[in-house]
Amino acid sequence: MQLKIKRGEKLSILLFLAPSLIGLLVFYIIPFGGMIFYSFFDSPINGSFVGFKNYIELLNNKIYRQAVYNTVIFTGISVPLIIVISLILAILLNKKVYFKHKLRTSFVVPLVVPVASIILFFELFFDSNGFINYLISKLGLTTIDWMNSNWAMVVVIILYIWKNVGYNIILFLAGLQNIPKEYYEAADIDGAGVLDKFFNITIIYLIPTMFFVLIISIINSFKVFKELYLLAGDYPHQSIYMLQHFMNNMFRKLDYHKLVTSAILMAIVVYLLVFILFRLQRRINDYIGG
Amino acid sequence: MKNIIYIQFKMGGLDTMKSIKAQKIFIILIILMVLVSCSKDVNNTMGEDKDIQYKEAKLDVLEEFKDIEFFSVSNNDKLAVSGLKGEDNYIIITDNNNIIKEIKENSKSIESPFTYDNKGNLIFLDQIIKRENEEITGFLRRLRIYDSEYNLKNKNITNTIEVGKEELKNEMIVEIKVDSNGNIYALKLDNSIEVFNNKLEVIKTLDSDEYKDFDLDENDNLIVLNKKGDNIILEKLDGKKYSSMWKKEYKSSKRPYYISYNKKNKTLYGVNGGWILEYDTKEDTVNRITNLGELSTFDYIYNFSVNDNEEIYALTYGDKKSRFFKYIKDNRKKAKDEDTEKKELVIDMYRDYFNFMLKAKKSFEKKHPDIKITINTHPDIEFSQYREKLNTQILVGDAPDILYYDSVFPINDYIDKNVLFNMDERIKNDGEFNLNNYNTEIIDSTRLKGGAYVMPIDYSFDTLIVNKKLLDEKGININKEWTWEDIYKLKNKLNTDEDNKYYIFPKFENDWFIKTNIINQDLEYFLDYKNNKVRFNTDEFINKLKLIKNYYSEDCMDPNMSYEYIFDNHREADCSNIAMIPAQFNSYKYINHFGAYYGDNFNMISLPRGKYTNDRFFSSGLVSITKNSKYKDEAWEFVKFLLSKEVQLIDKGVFSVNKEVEKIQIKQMFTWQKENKGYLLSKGRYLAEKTDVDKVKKEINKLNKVFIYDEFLKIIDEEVSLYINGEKTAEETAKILQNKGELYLQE
Repeated sequence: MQLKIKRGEKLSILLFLAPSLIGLLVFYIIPFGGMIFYSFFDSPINGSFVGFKNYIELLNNKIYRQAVYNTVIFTGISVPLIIVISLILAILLNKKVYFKHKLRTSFVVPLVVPVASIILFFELFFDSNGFINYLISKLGLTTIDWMNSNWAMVVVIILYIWKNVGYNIILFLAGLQNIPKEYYEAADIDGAGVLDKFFNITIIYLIPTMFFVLIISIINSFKVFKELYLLAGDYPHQSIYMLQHFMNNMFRKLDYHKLVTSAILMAIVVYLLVFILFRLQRRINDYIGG
Repeated sequence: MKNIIYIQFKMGGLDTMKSIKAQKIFIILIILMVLVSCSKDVNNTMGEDKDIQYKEAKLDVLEEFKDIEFFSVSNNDKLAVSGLKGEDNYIIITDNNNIIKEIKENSKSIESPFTYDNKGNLIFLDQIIKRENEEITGFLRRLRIYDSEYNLKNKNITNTIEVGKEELKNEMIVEIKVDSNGNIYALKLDNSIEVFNNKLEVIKTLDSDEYKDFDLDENDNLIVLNKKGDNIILEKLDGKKYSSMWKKEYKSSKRPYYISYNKKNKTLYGVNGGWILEYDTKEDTVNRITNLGELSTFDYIYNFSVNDNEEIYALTYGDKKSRFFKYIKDNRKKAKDEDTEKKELVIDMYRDYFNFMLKAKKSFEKKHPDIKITINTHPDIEFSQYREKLNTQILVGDAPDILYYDSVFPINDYIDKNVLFNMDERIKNDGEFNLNNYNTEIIDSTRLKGGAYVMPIDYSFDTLIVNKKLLDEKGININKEWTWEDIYKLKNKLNTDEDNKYYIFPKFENDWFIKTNIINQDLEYFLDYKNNKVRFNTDEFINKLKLIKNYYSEDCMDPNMSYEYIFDNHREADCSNIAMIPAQFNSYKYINHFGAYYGDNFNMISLPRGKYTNDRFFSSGLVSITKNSKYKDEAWEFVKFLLSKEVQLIDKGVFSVNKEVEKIQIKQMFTWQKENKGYLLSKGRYLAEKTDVDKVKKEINKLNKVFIYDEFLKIIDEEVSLYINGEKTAEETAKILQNKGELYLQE
């Protein structure tokens, strides 16, 4: 339906949008445009136009490829893992459980704990002379140097899941509570089993929520850099050296051309990903909505 | 659904009216928000700079008096100074450029500090040494009071203390202040404060802290400046109970070195470098009033006072003499127009120690009236913040014309990013600049990436003072090229008999020496930028790590004698069982200091050079011209001027790159030594001889590389510390550093 926008309303619409629009322009869109411009020069200070050389050099850079690989592996493992875990926990918490509210709160607490405290505990646990290694040595096995070997990825995944599972649980709980109970009752009457109910009702009606959780989880997987940086510093073990480490170091070393090029590449990838996901979601919604 | 939309349209008219009202409210809200958020930040620890201009006042009446070393200002702005007229010591009292009274000083007092009290009386504290048969037996303190007409009132209030020659120094009073009850507060040379009543009887002694300066406020409370370690604490003590009323700690560029309290304005002032600062303890702000260093030329201010009109009196020391200044407010507006035709050079530096750049700027501007120089210093931010600020400025193209910095800057990055200007061409083609007038080895050693992007203004280096007597006894030859392994072997070579225990080094309270030096000189080999190779995971590095650990774990460092203690106490520290002591040589004068370590036995060996790189580092103050400077010719003139005799002679306490100035400095050192022989010997210093100067020159000739800090050194330091603590093995550390190094190098 087309709504005719009255004249007076047009101005008020613009005014109400203005602060956000201006903020968006000044802090995101214009700098982003500037970035694209700079990515074709070899240096923002007294640089010369070099076309796509920055992009080609970057894609050939061994360390950059390592960073991209690590980021993709990390996101690819941790996001499905956290969705599965949080879904299972949400379903469990949706039933009649003792201390239901306290349990729900306890899952959300990791989101509000200050970062410094989180780091303190993870260091205590996963240091080569830390608590976990103490338990391992008690069991008679050789200790693992968590942060300085390939096991470091495990630590980061644990950190990510522990921190963000609460958020996803809440989202899933909201989605679960939106499914009308009549469907389950109807399925019971039809004699459906637990797994049938799960796959044919729960999952189907959770699909919009699922998409949202997916995107939020991907975003949170980038945010884990904050804790990771405080835990392992500028140059961690090469298996957890992520894209953000690369970009952070480029900024510090004044290699701004590499920084903007990698940021633009990342923006393109994320944009494509979100675009595909939204397309997919619309298709499935149409399929369900009928 | 349809009904709802119909109703919405019907309400359209009402909506428009409502929306216009909403618009108006919204606009008002936005304007309010903008106004509120643009107000000044209330929570500033650094207050606003007072935009008052000062200028030097002409003190014609004092022109015939030389050597003014003490002064006091009364409540009604009468000024009393002590000075020499001809051969005699006088106290001159002036009132607005008129001499009111001249008092000839003829007491036998060794030093008579004086002060005005609140009623305008001028009070002196004479200190006369008592002798019996050529032996010093004590001090006679005598109170001398002149009333406001400058007639001598009381004369016979005295106080005698019995001290020997050794404690005499400690008992000497350098400053006095009098409160409204006539009590006299005296600051002694041993940094304690003694309070006397008006009969010169001691009421209280404050000696629990190290007091550097003090003043009284309008309620007779005591404001003190005490030094605790590296920090300065400003504290207010109650006038009767001497309990602490408040306490504030100040660091670096905000700390006052001397204080002055103005009772009428109830304001506390302090001096730091050339800056006069105002301390508002209620609001906890520090305001900068003015930089006296910009108005006059001196090295430092050692006494000052601010009167009711915020005019400033200052006693300064510079050019080997003290000078007295008065500064009054300058109501002229800053002349703007005449500057627009001048070429402007902007110099950026972190801090201007000794106001050195200011002095250079003033001379240069006199010689080149068409060039104006602006010096930007940043005394109130942390060093890392300054580095980030500079990087951002360079990035946006707002770079200064000239940078003055030292090795802790990412100079190599600046060169890579095309920020710095290569002065090679100027050096070759400028007929006025002859490279042979300067220390060419040092200048060559500051060439980076194949060009003259930085020019050294001065330099300093580290070395090892050796206990030649001990090493000769043990038959160890010092005239060879020592390596760290050789030095380590001393542990066994020295301890040949069971009776005496000998050590290689003293211990280090600030633990840097061994860790840093063994690895730093070879950094270019382990982190090889040129060949893009990282060599930490090699036997060579692992052996270095093991060597470092050996130094720490096996009795190589004397647990009873620290490097810091030796530096502070030199001759009094007994180092006879220590083979070598590190020393940082900043100028030839340091020979007096380091020669006292081993009882007039001055010998040194160079720090081992890089095993795989042959690098021998030195530190240097460096100056660069930025590439996008509009006035490169003028900037080059200024750089040359900084290397010239006039500027290099400004005493900054570092070695000069100008050969002629170096010769002059050596000569000046010997003259100063001769003139101050007694003082030096009493302090336990060593008197340098020509052969010692030659020894130092020999070390300077070996230096071959300017030290530029590499960020990776911090990472190396962290990992090596873990290794030394035993948390990781050498192989693990090497592997970790290899991984990190590869990431760092190949990013």
